Amino acid sequence: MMGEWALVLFTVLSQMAAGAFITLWVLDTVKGNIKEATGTFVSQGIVLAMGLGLLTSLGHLGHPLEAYRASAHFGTSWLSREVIVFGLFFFLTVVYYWQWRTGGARRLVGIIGSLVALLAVPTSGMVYVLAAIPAWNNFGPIFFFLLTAFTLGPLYTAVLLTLEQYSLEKSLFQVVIAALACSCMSYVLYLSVLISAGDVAALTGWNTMLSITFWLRLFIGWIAPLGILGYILAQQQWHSSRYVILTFALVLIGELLGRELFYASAVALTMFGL
Amino acid sequence: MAKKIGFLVNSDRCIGCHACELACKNEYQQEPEIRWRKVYPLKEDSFGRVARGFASLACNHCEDPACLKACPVIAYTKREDGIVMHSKERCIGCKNCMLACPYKVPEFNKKTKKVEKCHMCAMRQDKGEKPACVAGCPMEAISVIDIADDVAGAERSLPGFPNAAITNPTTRFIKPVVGRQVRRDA
Repeated sequence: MMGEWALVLFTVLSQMAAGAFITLWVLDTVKGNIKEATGTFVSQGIVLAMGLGLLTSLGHLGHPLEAYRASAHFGTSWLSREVIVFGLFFFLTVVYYWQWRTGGARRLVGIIGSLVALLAVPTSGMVYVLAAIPAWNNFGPIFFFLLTAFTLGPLYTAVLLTLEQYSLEKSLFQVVIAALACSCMSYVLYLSVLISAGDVAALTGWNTMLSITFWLRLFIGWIAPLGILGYILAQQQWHSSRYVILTFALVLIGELLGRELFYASAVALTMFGL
Repeated sequence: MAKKIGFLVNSDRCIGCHACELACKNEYQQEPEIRWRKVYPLKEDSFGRVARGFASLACNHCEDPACLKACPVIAYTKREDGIVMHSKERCIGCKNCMLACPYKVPEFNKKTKKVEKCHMCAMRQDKGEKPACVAGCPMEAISVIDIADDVAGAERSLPGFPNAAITNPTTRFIKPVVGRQVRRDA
């Protein structure tokens, strides 16, 4: 399933951008101490991540130049809905950036953008909730995608804020720790469900567990970042940019590997056992 | 009300010769890796006693097609007679229909970078001809029926066929009759 690199990149980057947008808006609303230059820099980073995500999604299409038509079936196709909602979110990230840059009123754009981001991530998940793929025909895809948004998003914002010398709060990392722990446990549950299901699903579950990608995902994406974050909190080092950047890099690699595993575990219904 | 048609697959007659697959490939000059129709071997213990059986399947032209719902560019349409059509012109090759179809029917053509599938030889049928697979089967194991008709022995599923409740396929099946075993006392 390595050919799905475009979907892996699109889903991870778009969810990261959604989580980062919400984090920036929450920090701006609750703390209100982000300088305009800092906010401009961070929102620019969010535009870049979302734009890059949209661009990579084209790599999945046989005819990328005709991607504009993909919003045509809004009535029944979750893919059309995903295209429209993420298109709207990208537009709002650009407006948000512009408001930061020009010093305009940004609270309204922030709240609308955050709501659209919260809607966009589950919409993306619904594309994969399919009766034809029992392993995904549940709350799993939506939950996994939301967890990616709430682990990578705050960390991406944290990296951008750190680069601008903004003093980060402990609570941001506590949220990431909770989301990472939840992500790890939900994946264990997903694997156990696969292994306890029918022949093909069980084999897929075992193959996933025995693959190098799974172990890399476990150590790079969950154990190492949780260890570093635990150390950061214990040593009160959450202002240190190198730890924040390292944690972000590890979680990003982990999420990319995890998404690859997600696509590889698409256990479809069999036709006469084949 | 217009007649709704579907394939009747008679697994009692099918001998697994793949002539239907070849007739289809020949008619549409498909790429080597593309097969709109596939002959599946049935599990040998599916019908009580051990027996070899086959089911020749193409698109099931479902009454509630998952491909049609999932397609973001409205490349799929359903005709009045029930045939699910796919427009190559509209298709952008996103492969979403391939994920959504429980029967693995839509296939991606690497040359055209678009998806394609069986259209039940709609153009041939419009001219009063039989679909290529129906005409090509030496055992007359495939036919096109009005699904409202009560065909003797026709069932909605076979053991190993995905749950028909998902998309309500119009394909009907006739099960293979497993031969009676004659045992002689020593």
